[in-house]
Amino acid sequence: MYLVIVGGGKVGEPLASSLINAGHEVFILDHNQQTVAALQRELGMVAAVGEATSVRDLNDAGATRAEVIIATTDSDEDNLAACQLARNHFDIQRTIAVVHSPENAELFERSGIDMVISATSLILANLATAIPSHPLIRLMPIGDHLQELVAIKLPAGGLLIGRKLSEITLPYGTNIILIITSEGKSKKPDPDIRIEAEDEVIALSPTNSTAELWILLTELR
Amino acid sequence: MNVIIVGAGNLGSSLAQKISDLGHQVTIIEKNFGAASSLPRGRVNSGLLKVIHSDGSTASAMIEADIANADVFIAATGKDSLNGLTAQKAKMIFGIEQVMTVVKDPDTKNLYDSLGITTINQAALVSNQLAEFVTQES
Repeated sequence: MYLVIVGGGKVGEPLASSLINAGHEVFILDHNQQTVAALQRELGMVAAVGEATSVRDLNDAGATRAEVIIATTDSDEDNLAACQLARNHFDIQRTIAVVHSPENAELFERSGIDMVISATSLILANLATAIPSHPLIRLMPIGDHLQELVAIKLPAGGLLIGRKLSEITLPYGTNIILIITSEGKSKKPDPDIRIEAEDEVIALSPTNSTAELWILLTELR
Repeated sequence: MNVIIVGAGNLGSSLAQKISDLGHQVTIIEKNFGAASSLPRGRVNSGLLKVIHSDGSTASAMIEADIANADVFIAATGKDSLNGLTAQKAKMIFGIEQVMTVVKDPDTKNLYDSLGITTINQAALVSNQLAEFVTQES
């Protein structure tokens, strides 16, 4: 598969390296001369100096025959524009972008970017895993890492304790699959089921929304 | 009419003044304090031209600029991609119908046309006008 990566920095460089090792053909565009020189030393002639948002530079990078574009620059606006130009001018079928400001994630998704990776949400979700009191356990990634199976334990003083499932608005795309009580009994997630303290909720969650789900379920009164 | 302009560079500032001259209420968002200093002081003091010192690409700045009551939104910073993101946020998140963006790269016109965002290409405007002058002279 031929992939164009814009931004050859801390994310783009190891990404390119692992894609090349997996047998893919990769070309990296970066506006920094030194970054490009370093990439060429490490990976060979697979990088050039150019602007992520320039149609001409994308064309020179071979965008016309690329199947995927991955935008990993540290500027949200450049990542958005690069993916949109890739789709609009070069008809690239799959667009993937890193978004830094959580506020921009919604716009990225609405703009039709196929996969939006929110750096902040990933860090938040990982921090949540590390907090022992009401943990988040990632059980399994599903479907290209777009979704994941997670387990979240509800704290005793939580805002949702005593509420029916039907009264709770979950993040978009989230499905509760099973609830396990503190005694280890399982409850089917019917709308009339009430959440109790120390319940463990097993849910299928879009990876981007896991942090939001964790915050919702563990918020204290 | 309520008009929001993001960016008080040469273009944003003169645009703000022109639109304000026509009697419209203009709010200009500019994060750099220095850049906004070229705006007509009297009009700023009288509140006809409102200046907000903030990052105009953020929702919080747009809300501070009262985007809910805006009729026209113009992204006029010096960076094409930033204008693109800002314009799309105004259009898609806040539902502003009349959104314009300043672009330097003519290649981006196609993209923003497809999103229903009007592009203003300074270089194209200038060269068209010059070409008109030249043909009139001859």
